[in-house]
Amino acid sequence: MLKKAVLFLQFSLWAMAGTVSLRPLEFPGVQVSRATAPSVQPFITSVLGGMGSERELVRSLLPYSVVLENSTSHAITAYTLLLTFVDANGKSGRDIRQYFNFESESNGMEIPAGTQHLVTPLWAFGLHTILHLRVGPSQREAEVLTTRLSFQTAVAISVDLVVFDNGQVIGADDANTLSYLKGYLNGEHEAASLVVDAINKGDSPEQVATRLQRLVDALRQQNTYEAYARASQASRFLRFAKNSPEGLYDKAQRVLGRIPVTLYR
Amino acid sequence: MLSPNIKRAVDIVANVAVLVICAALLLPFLGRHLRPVFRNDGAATSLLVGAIFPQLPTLSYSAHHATVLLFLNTHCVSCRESRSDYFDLQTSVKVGNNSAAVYAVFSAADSQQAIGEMQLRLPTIRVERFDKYHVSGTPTIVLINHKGIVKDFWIGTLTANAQTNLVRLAKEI
Repeated sequence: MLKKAVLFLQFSLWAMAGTVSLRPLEFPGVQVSRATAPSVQPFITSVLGGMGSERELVRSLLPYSVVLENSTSHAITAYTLLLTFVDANGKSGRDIRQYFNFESESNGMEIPAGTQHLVTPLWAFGLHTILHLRVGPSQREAEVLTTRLSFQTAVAISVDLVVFDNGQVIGADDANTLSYLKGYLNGEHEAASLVVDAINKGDSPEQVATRLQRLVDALRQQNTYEAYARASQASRFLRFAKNSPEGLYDKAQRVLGRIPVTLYR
Repeated sequence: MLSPNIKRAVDIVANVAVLVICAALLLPFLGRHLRPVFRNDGAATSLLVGAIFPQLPTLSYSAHHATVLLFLNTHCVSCRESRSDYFDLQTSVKVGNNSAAVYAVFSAADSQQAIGEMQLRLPTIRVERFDKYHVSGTPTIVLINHKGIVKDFWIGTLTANAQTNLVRLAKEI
């Protein structure tokens, strides 16, 4: 009975929602469809079929989700789902979720060539993505979002940004999330260079940590997406400097030894 | 073990409770639609890039290489906050003599006096309802080419990047 009631309530909220429109992403080999479109239902069924208790959570997000299909010859390493909306009083809002993986090891977010992902405002799933959602907090997060969206008169969904493994960037980037990615990529090299230079000059682990802390503080004052991303990378090195100072130099050298990803349009 | 009568009674109470909760949830929705200053108009279909945009009264899309339609409402918070951005758009989309046209579109729910008080400094069009144009909330901004085809649309306040994209697209068409 309770399950029926919850499903009925979810359906009622969905029925109450205003118009949901999809802004397209035009690029050869990249297809974006609403997750409620009939053409993608076999894929949605397969993705949901592999889930446990989180299935109903993900199902409640489908009206605001897309299926991103990658038929190019390159893997997609980053993408942003942007929801913009207005309520009856003309108050605007937006919800941005960015997914990415620039590491060689999979985190389930990358979309290999010839595959597709279900991209929701809270999580992204491929056919074999394993996410360990904490159902309690995740449910609250999903409920807060779907309830908020259900009271909007108009919602636009778009895949605002896509980055391929060769660094090519496509998409409008209305939400300016490309600057975050640039900061994320540059910030890792920036922090690694600082560590290597400092250690080569003979700085102690404590002095290196102090330098990193100064960098984090300076970046946080800039209050931009890019600086925020750079600060988060410097913070990662700072934690490492404090917890495992013996491995810091090697870690920084490994980062500097990698071929840097250059983003281009 | 509950007797069948008690089980039936619990079931009925639970069903009534669900109906009451749903009615409570639907009330704000109904209130929103019955609001006198702005009607959602219940657009049946959503905006679609690549589709032919319905003709607006007194406006010919072929007269300009591109047309930017700003669907606004005099009580809309974001519309009021973005007035100077909308005015600036007129200048930004100019490409030589063949510039894109920018129009503010209001529904008949807004009086001419209220529209005037917004001081938009833009050519204005009034239409009976927005649903014919697949618009269900304000601000909604639609970019149309000279053939009347929707090239893109934006819902809500334009970010700086979105404004740049709009201007770029309007010039590229």
